Amino acid sequence: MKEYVLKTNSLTKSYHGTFALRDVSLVMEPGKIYGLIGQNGAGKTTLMRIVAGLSFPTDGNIELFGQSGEKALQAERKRLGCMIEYPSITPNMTARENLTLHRIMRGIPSETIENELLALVGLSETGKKKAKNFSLGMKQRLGIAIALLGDPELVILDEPINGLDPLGVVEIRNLLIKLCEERQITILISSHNLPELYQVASDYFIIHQGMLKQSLTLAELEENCKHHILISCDQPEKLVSVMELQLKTLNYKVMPDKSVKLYDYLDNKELVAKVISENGIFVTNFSVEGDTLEDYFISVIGGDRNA
Amino acid sequence: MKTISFLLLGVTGMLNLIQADLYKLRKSMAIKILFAITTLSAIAMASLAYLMAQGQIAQEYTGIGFMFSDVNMISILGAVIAGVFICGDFDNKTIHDAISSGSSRVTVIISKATVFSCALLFILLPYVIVTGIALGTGSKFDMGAVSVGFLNILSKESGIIFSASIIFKMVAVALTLMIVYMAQLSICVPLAMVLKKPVLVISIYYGFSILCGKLASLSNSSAVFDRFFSFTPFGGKYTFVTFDTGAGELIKAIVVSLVFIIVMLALTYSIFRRSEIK
Repeated sequence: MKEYVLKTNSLTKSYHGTFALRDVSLVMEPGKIYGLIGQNGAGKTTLMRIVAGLSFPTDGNIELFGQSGEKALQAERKRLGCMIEYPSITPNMTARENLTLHRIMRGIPSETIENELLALVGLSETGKKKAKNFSLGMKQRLGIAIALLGDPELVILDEPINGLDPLGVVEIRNLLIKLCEERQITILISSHNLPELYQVASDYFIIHQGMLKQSLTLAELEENCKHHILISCDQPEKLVSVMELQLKTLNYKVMPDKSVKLYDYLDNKELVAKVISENGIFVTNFSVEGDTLEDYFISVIGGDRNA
Repeated sequence: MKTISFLLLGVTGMLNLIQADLYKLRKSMAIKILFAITTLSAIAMASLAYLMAQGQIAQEYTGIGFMFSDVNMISILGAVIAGVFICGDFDNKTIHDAISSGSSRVTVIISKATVFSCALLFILLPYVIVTGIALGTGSKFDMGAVSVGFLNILSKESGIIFSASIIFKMVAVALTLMIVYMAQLSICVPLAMVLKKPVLVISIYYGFSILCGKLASLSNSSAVFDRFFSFTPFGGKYTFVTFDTGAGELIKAIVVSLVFIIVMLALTYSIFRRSEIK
């Protein structure tokens, strides 16, 4: 039987009749980085808050490390590290004092872990500077260090890259990849930006209006974003039959706006243009395109390109 | 067996939370400022009571003396502590972190209440010490009709000759008073857990303490109300204990206070148990 770090079964959360999550079922395996993508208000934080025990589902349930039920979940949460919405930081304390506070709170006796984590997130040199005087990026990094206290097996990070400068983004990205590889930590990281997560995640959950729209691996995502010839014309039905009968391909997709994405003949566009023309189809667009990650995300959530 | 290990985990977790909160308290500037305020207020209270007893200040200034008294200061500063240390932990997400790392909600409540009580004891300490020193001088102190709590002890017991039994009584009375204050302020725990806004906690509690002061005068005219009110730490003349108060009265004050604290914590748990932590 496959081992899961987290499993949700038809998880539903509603506030006064409005659904924040609807029937979300997903599984997370150990040692992977999962990207949770959705627009603002899609339900990402709600999902994370339920897993962290800060909120309760209206319906459905969760299993953490194979355990379910309130008491068992509470015990299993000792294996979690979270940074949800904002880092848990006491402003009038230094970075080290904040780590000490959370270390004591979790009953971790070793003080050396503080130095290790400060070095890991690049805050060793902050000295006596109070957290209230930190930049947003420094606060995020301190929040990540706090989440990593006690060697958690599952780390939940809600938009951890928010507010970081480009160098900070790269550093955090590399840190997360390193943690996953070296310590076999499972990471759930949320963002409203798919290209941002593309650099770090190995698996993706796309969530929209509280519903899990797609769960896919990096390979599947790349496959879905591959290059194609985009054809718009006056007779899309005829175009489809021409492609099947004359170009002998089924490797195409008709989009909601009736344009057609043809994934074959990328190196022989002339032939495609010639066959279409010979069949009297009036072409309004013929271009080589590849779904950007953003376009793909928009197509999954069912929005238009300007969304 | 599973239940026992779960309980042990819970107790260990609670001790960790208490230890962490005490660490936070130690590092906090707010508690140092509050301690400084109560120290200065205790000195001001004793000085005014002394000057009034000497006739150097007119009795009409008792209102100013009351302003510096323990019962008044603790009503404001005690609620400030609840605001800073309980509401503040919602703002800083310390409570969120405790829960997401496996602490139960009851553990969080008990640890917060414990550290809140410790902080109250700490800021009350100057009143205990100043009252002890003032009584030790053998001088006369008086603040007239507004004397409550430690100010009442100072007014009623001034000029007393110290002996071992008096010191013992003084410790017992001081402890009782502190427990009564803790019980009165335990109302701030559910308030802080629900409202999460220090300003609201402070203003509601201060308003409530004034109301209770008025209700206390009502209990003089109604025996039924007096009996009902004496089941709370706000009634039953619990803040008027002196060295002459009998052991039975002191024990009653402590029992009523402890029961009231338990009721407040149970109320907090019933509200906080399934609440969303935003």
